[in-house]
Amino acid sequence: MNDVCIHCGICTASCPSGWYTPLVTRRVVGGEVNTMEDVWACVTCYQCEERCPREIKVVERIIEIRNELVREGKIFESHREAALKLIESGRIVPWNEKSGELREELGLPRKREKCAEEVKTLLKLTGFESLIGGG
Amino acid sequence: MVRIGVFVCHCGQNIAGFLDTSKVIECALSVEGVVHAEELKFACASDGQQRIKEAIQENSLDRVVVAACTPNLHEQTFRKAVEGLINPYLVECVNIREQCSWSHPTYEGATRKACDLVKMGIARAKSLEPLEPRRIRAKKDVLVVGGGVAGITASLELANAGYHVYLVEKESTIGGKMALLDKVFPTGDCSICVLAPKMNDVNTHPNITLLTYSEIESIEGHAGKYRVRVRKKPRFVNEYCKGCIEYCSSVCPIEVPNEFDFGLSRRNAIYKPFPQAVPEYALIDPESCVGCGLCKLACPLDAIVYDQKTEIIEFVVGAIIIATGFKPFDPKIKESYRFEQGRDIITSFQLERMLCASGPTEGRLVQPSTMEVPKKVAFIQCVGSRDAQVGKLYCSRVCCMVSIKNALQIKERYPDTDVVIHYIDIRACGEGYEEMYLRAQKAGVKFVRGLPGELIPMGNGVKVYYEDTLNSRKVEEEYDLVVLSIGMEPSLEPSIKLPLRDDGFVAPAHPKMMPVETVYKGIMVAGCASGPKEIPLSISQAGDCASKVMNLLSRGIIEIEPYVAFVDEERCVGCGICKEVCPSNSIFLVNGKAKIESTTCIACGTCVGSCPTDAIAQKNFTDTQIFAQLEMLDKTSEYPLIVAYLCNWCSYRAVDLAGVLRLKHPPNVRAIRVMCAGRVDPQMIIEAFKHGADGVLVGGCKLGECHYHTGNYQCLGRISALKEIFKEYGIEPERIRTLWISANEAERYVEEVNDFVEELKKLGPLSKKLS
Repeated sequence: MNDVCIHCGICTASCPSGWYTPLVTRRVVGGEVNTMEDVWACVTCYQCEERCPREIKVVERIIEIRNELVREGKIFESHREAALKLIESGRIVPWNEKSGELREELGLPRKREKCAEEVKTLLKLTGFESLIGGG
Repeated sequence: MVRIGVFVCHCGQNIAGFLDTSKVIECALSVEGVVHAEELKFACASDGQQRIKEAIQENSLDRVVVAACTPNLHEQTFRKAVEGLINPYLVECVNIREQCSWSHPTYEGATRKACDLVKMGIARAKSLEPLEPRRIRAKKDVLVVGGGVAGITASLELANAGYHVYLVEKESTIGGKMALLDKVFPTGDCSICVLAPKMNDVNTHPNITLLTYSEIESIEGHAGKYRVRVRKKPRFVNEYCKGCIEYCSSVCPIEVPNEFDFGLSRRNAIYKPFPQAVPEYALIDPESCVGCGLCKLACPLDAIVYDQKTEIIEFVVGAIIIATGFKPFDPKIKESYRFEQGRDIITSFQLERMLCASGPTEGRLVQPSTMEVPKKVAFIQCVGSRDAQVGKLYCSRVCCMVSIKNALQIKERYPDTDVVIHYIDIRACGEGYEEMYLRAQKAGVKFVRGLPGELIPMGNGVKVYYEDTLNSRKVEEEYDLVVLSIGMEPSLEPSIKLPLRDDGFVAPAHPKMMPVETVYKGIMVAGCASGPKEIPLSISQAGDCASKVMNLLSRGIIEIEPYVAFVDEERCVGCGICKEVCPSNSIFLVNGKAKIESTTCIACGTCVGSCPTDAIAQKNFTDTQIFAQLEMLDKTSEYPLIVAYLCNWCSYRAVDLAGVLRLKHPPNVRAIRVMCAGRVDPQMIIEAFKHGADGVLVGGCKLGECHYHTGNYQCLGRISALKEIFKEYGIEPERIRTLWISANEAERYVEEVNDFVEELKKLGPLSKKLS
């Protein structure tokens, strides 16, 4: 993508995560990654993208950069942990007794192993597991 | 037997660099009737024109074909060049630059197309007839729309030169936005002090009829004779009013926000917009007046007339200057800046009023929430400019200097107040502008490169988050007052139908070479109506318009193209369809036959296209001349082969623009120019298919924006009917496409061509289906 950024800084100024982390959104948009933390600090709230005067797909860019880093084996530790949990359980949000009860109350099966198993298979087949495992 | 000379221009490398001109010459010489063909480095240059003249004499040529740039650029040049040797209307221009060399991806494709177009041009040249331009009497009066600084300047220039001017202003006073400003950059003059004398000159000038509080209802006609209808709204106050305002307004029980102070002050239902308003009369705003009658009792001059009515005023002018200015951007659209959610966020126009000695605070800068002088003031640039999120891609051009000027004003009056300008790029291009920027820096104005993401209004003051992009520092800051430096928006009333650019401002006839002319002869545009501009440029454009108007009208006679329609009485059956479709009411039925009044005919050809018995023809665009071009179509040269009938005003110019912008697209189109899509009749489409076209594209102005009002609708109706007939005969109606575009929609044209080529490929060759 050709860079059409005019460096107004609205993205940085609009980033709720950037106020508490080293993330300077504008510089990441320009392809500059200084610390391992900054690209991983984005919470994909899309506020930067909603306000960008040049309609740059800021979040898409950040995700691209993350994907590239993961391929190089440079995944941020806490993200790797979350990914490992996903591989292990097939779930983004881990199941526990309390959520089981809540599901029953709502008339849903207490636990659905089949879906989680399917997710696990998918993660294996798509290479997600080896991608993360290499980290 | 005709003797045709063909001249192929190189235009330096602009043509010769992208297609094989010797091949084009070879091709031209193969056509019967061509007795001479030569290449010229620059046909439009004086030596090029000289060569054409010599060749006419050496070879006894009686017709000339010039293959060069678009006829919209140099048709007149070449017609003038041959004057005295052959009739100027026997010159045919073939467009091999905008529509060939500049627009196609391959050398071969561009060459093939140039050869075909030249052959078509030669065929057309053979069938051309000698014509004489029409001379029409031109009215010397001029209409100026808009009484801002541009309209005032243009009116005074013309009035001083002896032309009668009707100045129509929609507000109740002239002066426009400039009258509301405090100081003007780069000199720091008081705005109203330099403008007020001119406003008064307008009011008292014997050659100016000033119509304020008036709007244009309609404009019809052509250069030399535009019929104008103006709607003058009632002021409910007559000319006895001396503008004293105290007696009447002091008894008025109503108070509403004053729009001339952008809501910072309040006015009564009877009011004067601002102290220096011209004309000086007060007016009553019927929206807020409760009709109590107190003002009428109070007025010592008996100037109040409650039963005043809207007046319709009609007059005829020879030319028109559009100086309708701009509308300030409404910052509420940019939600993250929370305008009107906090009192201490104001616009640059509100600040101007505040700083103005005759404004709502009499020149005192205050923080609205506390009414104290603010200690920290921030300007936010590019609010409503350079921002795709609010649909404004353009730079509003003046806002940087406006903020610098106002920041300096604040610093000079309140040295203890901190002033910060948040910017993306400072645009200080103009005489004395950069120097003013430097002066502001020296005076202590701080420039921060970075715009806030959002503004958070506090009880008093505003919290701002921004990134200082020069050091990547993230900063949280509180200001007492935040000024939104708002951009300019187009404001042309829809009753004035002119081609607009994508940004909504009036499109000049040529963005570079004809900045104040529109595609309509006799209609000029000055000031911010054609895009954001500072005052000096608006003034010079106004002067430019005035001189062009004088140029056009000074002799009292205007020459216009002789492309009028005429009737073959033997064929006419007196059905009257032509009379119905004529946009200029120039057709009458006399003894059961149509008769065309050639002095008022506006030469669109819509009657020709709609005549069921082919009894009407249009000079220079006869069926014979159009079919001659179709005869030369070469089926083998391109597949799919597309014939495009393009109207002279919008679609042909959009195709030219595609070339100017070098938007590469497939070379499958062979364009034939007509004055209006209304000229295109079903037979022209059928003949195109008969001569080998796989598809036909008909281009016209956008629906509702036809140069001749309704020609494109007439064409659309005919084509819809033709498509139905095609269906019955088993021919895909998709082979006919219409494209209604404005002159600047080059990209849409390119998309359309790409898409049409693909669709026609899918449909396969037409001949297969016919056999």
